[in-house]
Amino acid sequence: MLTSQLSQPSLLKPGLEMMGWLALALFFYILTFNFADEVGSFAWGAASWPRGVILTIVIGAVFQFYLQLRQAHRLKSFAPLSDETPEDSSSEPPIDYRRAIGVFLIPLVYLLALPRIGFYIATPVFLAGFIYYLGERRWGLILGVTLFIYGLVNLVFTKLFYVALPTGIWPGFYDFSNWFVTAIR
Amino acid sequence: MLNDFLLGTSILFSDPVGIGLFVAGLLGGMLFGAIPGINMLTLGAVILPFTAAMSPTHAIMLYSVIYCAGVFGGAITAILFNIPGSPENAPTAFDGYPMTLKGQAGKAVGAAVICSAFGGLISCIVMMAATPLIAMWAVKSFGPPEIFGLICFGLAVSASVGAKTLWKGILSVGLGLLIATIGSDPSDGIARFNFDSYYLLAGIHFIPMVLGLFAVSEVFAQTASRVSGIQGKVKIGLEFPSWMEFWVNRFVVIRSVFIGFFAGILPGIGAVLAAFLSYSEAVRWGRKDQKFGKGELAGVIASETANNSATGAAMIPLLALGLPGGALTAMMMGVFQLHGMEPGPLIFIQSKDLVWTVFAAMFFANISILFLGYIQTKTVVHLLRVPFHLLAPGILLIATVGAYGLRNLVVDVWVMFIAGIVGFFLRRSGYSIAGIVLGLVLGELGESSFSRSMQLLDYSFVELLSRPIAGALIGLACLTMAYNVYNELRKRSA
Repeated sequence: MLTSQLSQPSLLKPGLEMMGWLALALFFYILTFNFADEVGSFAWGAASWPRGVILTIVIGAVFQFYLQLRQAHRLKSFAPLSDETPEDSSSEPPIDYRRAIGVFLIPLVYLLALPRIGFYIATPVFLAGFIYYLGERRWGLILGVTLFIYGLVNLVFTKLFYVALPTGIWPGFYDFSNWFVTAIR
Repeated sequence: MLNDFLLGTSILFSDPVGIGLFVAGLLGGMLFGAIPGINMLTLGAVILPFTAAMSPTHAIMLYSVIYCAGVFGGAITAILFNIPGSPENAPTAFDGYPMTLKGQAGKAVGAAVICSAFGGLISCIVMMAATPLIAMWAVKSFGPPEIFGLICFGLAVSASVGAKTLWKGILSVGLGLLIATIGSDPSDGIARFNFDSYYLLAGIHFIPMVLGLFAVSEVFAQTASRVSGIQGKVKIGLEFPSWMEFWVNRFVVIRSVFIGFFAGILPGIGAVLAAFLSYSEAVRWGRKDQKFGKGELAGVIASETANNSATGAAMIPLLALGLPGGALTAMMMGVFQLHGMEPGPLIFIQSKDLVWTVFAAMFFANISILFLGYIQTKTVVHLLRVPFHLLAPGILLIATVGAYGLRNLVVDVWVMFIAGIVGFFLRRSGYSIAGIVLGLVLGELGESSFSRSMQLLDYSFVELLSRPIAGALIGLACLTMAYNVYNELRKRSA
């Protein structure tokens, strides 16, 4: 009966949420056994507090799902169950999933490139690429904004505050980055 | 007191170097507080070595001014972009950003400016009048059990705000607490959840998490949607709320001043909890027609009054007893040590000029917030006119630099990125980002105060609850949760 109820669209999302939270709790609970035996000055050990927090999460997840299940029974309808009141349902703008993939991927690629080719080479490429992806097609504006942001960040962090940004580890890129930093400073 | 204040004022404004440092501290604190990822702590850390060349008075004065301006600085970006510059500005975004979306950005900013200045000024005046007395009482009466009780109460209250339901609020705070356990346990340094990683042994720093959960997730939310940016015409300007609007919210202001001061005076608690507590109390005591979370002025007032009220109070344990109230005041301890001085009761006798110059500087810094707000409104607010697709890469880049510059670790940037993705999905599902941050910020302190309490009280919960202040706070926490659960059940039954 629970399975058929879960398969109804109205309880699928809350059911998945509960399972997600329980999976997280179970994962961390299993990990606590790695250090549960280590007892220092605190007699209850290093695992007691995390386990208390995990228990709180389990209680919260179960209660949340239980109350949603109870509400679904009370309503006895197939309308999508939501925690939102009607006026809340439009508070977050709708996602364009295809666009979202690029929005997540481009910064991800930038992060992967950062330690390898360095901040000073990866950043202008990232800025220009991301602005283009987000819809700007005027190349003059793309280049102008890229140079402005890149220049400002270099001025403040590299020149003024001497923040050591990644220079990369790949040959060629590392040398260029070091030359660039020396030139700025 | 008045004579001492006038002495401090004359010392402050008769020295051109002092005036220059005062202005630099104001602008630097405001700027660093406003930019996500680089907050006043970053500025404080960067200038610490340079303070050796300054006089002790100048150095401490500079930090105190940075503190006042920095706590305020993050309010503007919280209101305009839903990106709090610092964690203590997070509750400001709950209602400040919806006000911006309704075209009331100027009023929200105006309220933040006035209330920050007011909260800071009151706190400063009380600080000047009552430092020796209050410090002795607070530090003697508040040991680890009381601090644990206060954190319990703060977390119980925070679980009820910012999320769509109480249970999502509890889960949000729980997630923050769980993340805070990564690294090592505060009692004995035993490694926990570090997956044999050297980097994770130090724990997840809250700054990359804040950057990810607020700045990065906001960029993702705006750019991944079909419609991004602020819709409709946005009225940009500094517009102070009317006297009637302040009169209607007078109890919010008074309550927030007290909450901020009380939270600020306790070592380690500070402006973050002050802001969250104050906001949640405003929600609890609000009228039925007030819609918190949808652009309610009282929400902005509560948060900004409390976090600035905490600044003056945080100086009390530092100056009177040598106990830092937070990270920036801990840096100020470093400044004292650089100059061979030790804060404590004797400092009022040995370095009276220093103390009263600092008090005067904080007083005038809080007045200056009125002008800072005007300056910031004329500069930062115009970023609203920039299309978001041009602003978003810049925000991501600054957040990346901010996360990396903390410890020069790429892993912090990854933490920020992952937090951004998680935050994006959690927000859409109605969880509280601010609850996660609060759990993360207070988790370690909560655990260390709990473990020390248990060791002090021979692991007896009865002993813990029989301490008047600790028992009262824990009792209040339980009552708060029970009341919230009752409300939730009643809402669902209706």
